[in-house]
Amino acid sequence: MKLVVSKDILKVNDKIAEIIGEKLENRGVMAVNILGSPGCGKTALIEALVKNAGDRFKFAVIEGDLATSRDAERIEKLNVPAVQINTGGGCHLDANMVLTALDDLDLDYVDVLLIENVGNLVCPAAFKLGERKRFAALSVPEGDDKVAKYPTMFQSVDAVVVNKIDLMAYLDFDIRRVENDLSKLAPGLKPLLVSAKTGEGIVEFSGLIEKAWNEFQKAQR
Amino acid sequence: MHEFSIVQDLMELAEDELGKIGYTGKVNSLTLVIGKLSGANPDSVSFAYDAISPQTRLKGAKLIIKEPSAVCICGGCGVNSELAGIDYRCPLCGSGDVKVEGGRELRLDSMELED
Ligand SMILES: Nc1nc2c(ncn2[C@@H]2O[C@H](COP(=O)(O)OP(=O)(O)OP(=O)(O)O)[C@@H](O)[C@H]2O)c(=O)[nH]1
Ligand SMILES: [Mg+2]
Ligand SMILES: [Zn+2]
Repeated sequence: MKLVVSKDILKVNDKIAEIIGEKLENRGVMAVNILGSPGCGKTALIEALVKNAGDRFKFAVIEGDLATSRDAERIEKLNVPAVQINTGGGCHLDANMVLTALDDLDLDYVDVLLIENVGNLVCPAAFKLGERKRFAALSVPEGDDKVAKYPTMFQSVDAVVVNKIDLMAYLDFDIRRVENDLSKLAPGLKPLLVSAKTGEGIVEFSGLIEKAWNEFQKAQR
Repeated sequence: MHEFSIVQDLMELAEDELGKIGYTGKVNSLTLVIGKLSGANPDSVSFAYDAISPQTRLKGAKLIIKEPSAVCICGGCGVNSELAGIDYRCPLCGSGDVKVEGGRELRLDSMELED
């Protein structure tokens, strides 16, 4: 006898992600899931963003790492509420972890919730966290071939930020390869060039958040 | 990626579904759908399944995996075609104005029960 099931395997995660999405929407909070490899500068970009746009948005940050609370401590130094999730050995954040972390935030005082995922170009792509937008960060020292080598991740995002462009002069990084690979993988997606160190492109990076926020406000009405 | 946790979720789902209909007999096979864009690797899923399933209710059930491709629906020339590799542009006219459908499935389709 054939028993038809036809159910998604990660449905437990997706269901929780939906709950998070609704909860955040009801409280007027826009979540952005930030993905990228270890050390590409996700935390540095969040720091730069908060410094640049902190007067316009009330930010809160959820930090995902296997161990330590170092990233959350960096964010708290900027007087932004931060919750650290330690995944133990886990290679990605899942919706259940984020739902639990939300208990530690006062959502009435949050406009934009930045979720820094575990540094990994593979697994985080498969787990929705209730976010409105997904941003990928890629950095110059990683090489210009990462978009083509990790297509699932780059295909799943709404924006790609290329960080550490201050190092461009020292490395053979051809931005045209990134643009070309993206144009095949995610037509219409153009990488935004930034340096969290020098501040170059950070105004434009804030602009991405601003644009997403305006869309979110429109959708809310 | 995390194929082991995928298989654990799969086991739970399968056991739940069997529980719902109160079936206690043998399961001959499970048919799984793993889309080409799902990010899960069918070989790794099979490997994890072989390691995990003997300790479960699904002991001895064969794993059948279907791997559907994604379809690209072109806004330029209007033709639907199968996506090849990681190039998401229309293979016919090269247009980037495409909608990609399917390929992201990670789903338990059905189970074949012995009786
Ligand atoms: N030169 C340069 N270095 C940078 C830039 N952004 C970040 N870094 C450095 O890169 C290193 C990693 O930065 P993080 O912000 O910790 O990176 P991350 O992606 O958050 O790392 P994980 O959380 O461990 O995955 C640090 O030493 C930063 O100082 C940049 O724009 N230019
Ligand atoms: Mg970090
Ligand atoms: Zn076409």
